[in-house]
Amino acid sequence: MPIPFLKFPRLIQLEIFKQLEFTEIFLMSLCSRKVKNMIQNLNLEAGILVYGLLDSIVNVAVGPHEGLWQLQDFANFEHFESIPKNEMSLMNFEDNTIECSYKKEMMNGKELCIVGYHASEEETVLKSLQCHVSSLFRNKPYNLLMVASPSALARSAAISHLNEVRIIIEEPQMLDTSQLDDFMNFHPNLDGVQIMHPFTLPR
Amino acid sequence: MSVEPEVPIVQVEEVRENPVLYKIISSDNHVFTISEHAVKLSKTLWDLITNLGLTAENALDNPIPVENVNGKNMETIVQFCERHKYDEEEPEYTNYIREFVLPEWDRQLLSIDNEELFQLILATNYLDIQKLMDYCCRVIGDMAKDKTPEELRIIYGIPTDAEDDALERSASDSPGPSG
Repeated sequence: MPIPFLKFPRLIQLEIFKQLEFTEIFLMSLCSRKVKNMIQNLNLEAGILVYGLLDSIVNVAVGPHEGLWQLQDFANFEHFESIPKNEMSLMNFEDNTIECSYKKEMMNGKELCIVGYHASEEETVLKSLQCHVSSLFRNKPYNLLMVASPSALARSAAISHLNEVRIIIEEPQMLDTSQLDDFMNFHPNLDGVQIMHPFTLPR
Repeated sequence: MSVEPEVPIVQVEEVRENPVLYKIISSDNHVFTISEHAVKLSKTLWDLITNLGLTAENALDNPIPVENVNGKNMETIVQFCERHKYDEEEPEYTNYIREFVLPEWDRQLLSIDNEELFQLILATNYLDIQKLMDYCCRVIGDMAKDKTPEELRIIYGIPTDAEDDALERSASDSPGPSG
């Protein structure tokens, strides 16, 4: 028999949410609109939301503004060219119905649930993800984007209202100024940009 | 008026160091004795004791009826309160997430089926025992570990949006009490 979570009085539901980690709260918010509304009533606050983009992976972490070392995982997504039929589920995600899969992976000694989606739905998923995550917090956290590959730089256009961006691409000759121009056109109102890349002068 | 119990008194733990004992009668007429330090963990019971003016002299002659809690849950609650009666007061939680380690003894105590756990939490809520509430909620929260949203829906009995919508439709389609 399941534990009838929705039948608990509201205060007990809130007490249970207090025992969950951020990744669990996020996954609960994907269960249904009703549960998402409950989470919104928790009045969660965050100092900073960090969106990390690396090739096919999107990671969202949450923490206090002053301490990036105190970040906690919040959401993990990964795009695939295709999702096998037997792994496919439908997810209602901010008024969009998305075909997805759920994969469990060990990361830093913890098992994480990674939401898989079609690469062709990249823009919809990233926009919905940001909208969904932002809606779970009472305040407006500082939005930091960390980009770790040129392809991720192009994909980042779907994430908006950013305060700061850090581009960390270590391989030389992977980044040119036209890519950065495009990027800055997509994000014209940033408070700060940090770029870590071994640039070379034209010959 | 004193109530004569028809079922044996459950002596959960003999209390040598504190002679003040109270009697509690569950909804199914089981009688429990509980020490003063332990009963103080329940805000509801302690308020009741204070309001009734029970003292060391008259406490055992005046059992406290608790109609919302059955004997099985009361036994667990009394065991819990006796176990934790001398715990240091919890620090105020400043973070949203409550961080503590659930002791093995308590995990064992709360290794019960979901229906019993559900009833125990309602009883704990009624008796207002914050520490037991935290521990019960931790057990329920731990069920979410490493689960996908689909698994969470099954564990916590959460309907999908489509199921919620269908329920709402059928509720609005069905005639009201006046027909």
